[in-house]
Amino acid sequence: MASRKKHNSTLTYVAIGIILLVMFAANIFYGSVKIPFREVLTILFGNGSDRASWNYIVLETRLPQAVTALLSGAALAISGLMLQTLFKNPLAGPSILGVSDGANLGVALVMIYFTATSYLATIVAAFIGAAVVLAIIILFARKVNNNVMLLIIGIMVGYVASSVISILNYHATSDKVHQYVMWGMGDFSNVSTDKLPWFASFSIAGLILSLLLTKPLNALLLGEEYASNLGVNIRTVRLLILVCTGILTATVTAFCGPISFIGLAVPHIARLLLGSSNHKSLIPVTIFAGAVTALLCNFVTLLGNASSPLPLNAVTSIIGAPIIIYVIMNRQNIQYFN
Amino acid sequence: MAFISTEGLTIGYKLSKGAEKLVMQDMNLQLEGGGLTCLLGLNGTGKSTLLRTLCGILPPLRGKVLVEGRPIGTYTKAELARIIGIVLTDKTSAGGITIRELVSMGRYPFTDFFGRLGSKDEDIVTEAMKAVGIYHKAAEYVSRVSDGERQKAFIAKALAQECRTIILDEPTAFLDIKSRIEVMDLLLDLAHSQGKAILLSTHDLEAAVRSADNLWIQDSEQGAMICGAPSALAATGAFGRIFGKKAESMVMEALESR
Repeated sequence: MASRKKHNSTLTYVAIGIILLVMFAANIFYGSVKIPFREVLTILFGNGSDRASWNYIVLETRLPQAVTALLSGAALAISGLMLQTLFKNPLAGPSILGVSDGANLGVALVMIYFTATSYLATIVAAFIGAAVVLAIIILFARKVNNNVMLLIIGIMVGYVASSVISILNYHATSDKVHQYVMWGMGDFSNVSTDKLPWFASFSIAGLILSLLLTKPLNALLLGEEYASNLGVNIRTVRLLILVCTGILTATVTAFCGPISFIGLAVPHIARLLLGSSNHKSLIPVTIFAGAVTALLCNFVTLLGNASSPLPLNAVTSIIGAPIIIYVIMNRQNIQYFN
Repeated sequence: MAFISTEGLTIGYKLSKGAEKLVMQDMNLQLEGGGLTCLLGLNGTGKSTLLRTLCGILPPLRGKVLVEGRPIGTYTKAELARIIGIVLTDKTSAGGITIRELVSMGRYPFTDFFGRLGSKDEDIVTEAMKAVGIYHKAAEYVSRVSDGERQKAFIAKALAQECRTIILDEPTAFLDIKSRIEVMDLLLDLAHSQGKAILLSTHDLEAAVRSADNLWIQDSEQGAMICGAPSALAATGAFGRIFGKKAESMVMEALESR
């Protein structure tokens, strides 16, 4: 029985690895501008095409966009997984703790109130907004021992941030509101080649930290008191999980906008694929599944009209919502949170 | 030497602004190895608080908890994890792991940074599952076994932890009568055959009187803990005074059937 399970998870790794490669390739080879398959290959192998515009599209647009989608998906999915485990709640996700609302507020402030248009200002504002909310949550985490209470505090902080955003919007010019709404749709194409190293180092650092938390995350499945009895320092672990999800969420939100549903839905997909909530295999599968989902969503946005691709957040929600409904309806399946 | 003892222990919670909610005061308790001790008391008298204080989850308000002769505060978390194992009634979210994986959690204090199990750990986990009679369900999901089997799995987890003391908070509370008897017999057997100190809280007065080597009864009127063997306590008339006349006659019957 044990060996059969092992075989199954190996199969899952292989299958999801292949799907990841296929999705990545689809994002590189397909786009609004038709470039022949051979030409794309030539460009990728560094030989350059005769047409400079094709070189630019493949290397400066499609490649960074695909890498950004891959990393963002992994980052959001792993954040969702860690928060679901920490709060013992299948509906927890990076947006629920108010961290992405904090980033949103930061961006709304610079875009609408200070009417800044520089790209850098947006990123810095998102980081600061997310960091402030995270600091508030961590401050409360040191006082409040109960995770459900902490979750509620996170939701309340998120509400406050959203309300301030509505006030800003209410008093803003329609141009500014439009600009902010567009940012709010989410976009993986915002990260250009020169910004990619920054984006990649932050998100990869967060992903590595999450892998290092495998053992305590598993203990947390039993609840805090059991985990504590097994020798887990609950406060330290909770702080590490919050900082890790904070870094990952802030990074993605700052660079790509508030991307909904991936963080919430992908951990459920990973559990369904794997048939286990053991983090030893669940963390890698969630990272892969997050990357695949984001690449799929990005690919779907490309299917829209060439001049105006579909908004990313519409796609993630259309793909994500049915999954959540399936998870809720599928009661005879394994009840991961019981 | 007692496995766990207390000196003038006062338990309770710290409220805001330095205020305290006292639950029980000035207790001198001795938990011996090789025996099953049952903690009895009416609802709201602080049984869970006491158990959580004894295993180090809650700090004592005053007095001392001594673990194998040393104050509990002088142990690190990792050291304590190898000495006291707990079984609680808390809701977990372990439904998506197998019984074997759950019992393996007991090896947490012994495994490396990534929690990898060596062959010795695997053997200990297997032995623990066999000892509680859950081995045939090793590959089953935790969410798919009965309440009794789940409780046994958590007891196996505490065994895999290789602790000399096991503390259980109402381990039989949600079990049907068959599982209740099985779990009590199992705990009694573990205490006697492996020399462990086992302390559990329960509302099942009859089962406690029938099985336990020692009883700790919270006398909320006098604010004291009454300790002793069931027959010795019966002779003092403590049962009738604390739980009422009907309960006392029930106790007498249970004592006869021991």
